[in-house]
Amino acid sequence: MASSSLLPHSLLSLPTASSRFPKSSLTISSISFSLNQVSITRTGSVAFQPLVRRGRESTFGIARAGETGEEETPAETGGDESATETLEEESSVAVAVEEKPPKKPIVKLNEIIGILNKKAIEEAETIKVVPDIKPGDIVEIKKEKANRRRLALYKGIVISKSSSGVHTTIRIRYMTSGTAVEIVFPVYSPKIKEIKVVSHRDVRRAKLYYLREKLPRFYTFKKK
Amino acid sequence: MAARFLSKSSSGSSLLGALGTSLLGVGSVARQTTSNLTYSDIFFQQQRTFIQMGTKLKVVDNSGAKRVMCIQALKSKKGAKLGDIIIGSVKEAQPRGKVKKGDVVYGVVVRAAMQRGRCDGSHVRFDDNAVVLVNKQGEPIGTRVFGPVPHELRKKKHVKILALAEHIA
Repeated sequence: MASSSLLPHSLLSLPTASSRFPKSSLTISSISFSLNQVSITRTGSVAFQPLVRRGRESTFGIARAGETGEEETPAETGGDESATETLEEESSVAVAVEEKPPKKPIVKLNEIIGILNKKAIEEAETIKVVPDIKPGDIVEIKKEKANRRRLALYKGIVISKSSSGVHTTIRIRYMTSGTAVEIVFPVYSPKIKEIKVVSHRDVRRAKLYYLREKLPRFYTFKKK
Repeated sequence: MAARFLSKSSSGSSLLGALGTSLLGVGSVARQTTSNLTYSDIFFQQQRTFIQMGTKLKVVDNSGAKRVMCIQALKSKKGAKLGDIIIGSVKEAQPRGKVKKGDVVYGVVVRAAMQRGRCDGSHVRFDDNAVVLVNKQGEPIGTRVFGPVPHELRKKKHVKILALAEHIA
């Protein structure tokens, strides 16, 4: 009886019965086979015409390897099993099978957050280009206000940057009207319309909290 | 500033005594009495908290008061944040002003050292605690406001203070 199995690796483990068959069967070695269409049978006489037909069916089946609803090949397999098995064994040895559907990359659980963050950052990048910001940069930020009238402009020194995917934040310190203000901006927020690095100050720290105790002139910047 | 002070003191044992005085003007921060104080030991990060009973705030309008001590933070058991209203007692006032020392007044917190989160994910904090005196209806007593004020006042319906402000942070 014919039993069809869809194990790709079973083809390799089939006993090579090529010795049994005369060289004349090699004329059909040019037909390529899909691994999914392996049918394992016992013995049978070699008949060429059904072979060719079966071969063609298999190539047809390769193109639609992923589909489950194939009516032709199961109908054909009833009669031609015997012939096909031998031929497929031969071809497996002779011809390298390359018609596998591309394997989808498996997403590991610990990569999901990284992938989601990347997607969110790509979406945010379409609104504005976010430059590379480091602590010590003097930046100008244009932010949309709640009443959506003019854009608010903030110019200050970046005293810290906290990277966490799409919620990367920078802390800006600046001085206005005699009082120092520190604002934490989420860099990829859609409310922020523009971030521009104006200049850079050489610092030897990642977090410049010491500026809070220093003279105000170190964090005072003139807005043009 | 603190480093210069430390270098003046002679021995290690007197360091803590020198730091404990209010000469530095910084709130009480734990310090080690070691002879070899590094830069990082001196400046600890302060944990800023709410404005509660006893907090002294600066008055930033021209109502006449200079400093106010919070005696009650309305609306929250923990304390007042940026944009909240407090009841305060005037501790220091200018000679000829609308309020005088000892008055009990309402005030709107316009600057707070504790950071306040906004709904877009940003946070804002100022370097000092400041208040604008208002009457019971929420209208400012003074006619000018000094320094920056935050957006939060708009949501709290303190629109008059926003109109008088120099800069909106």
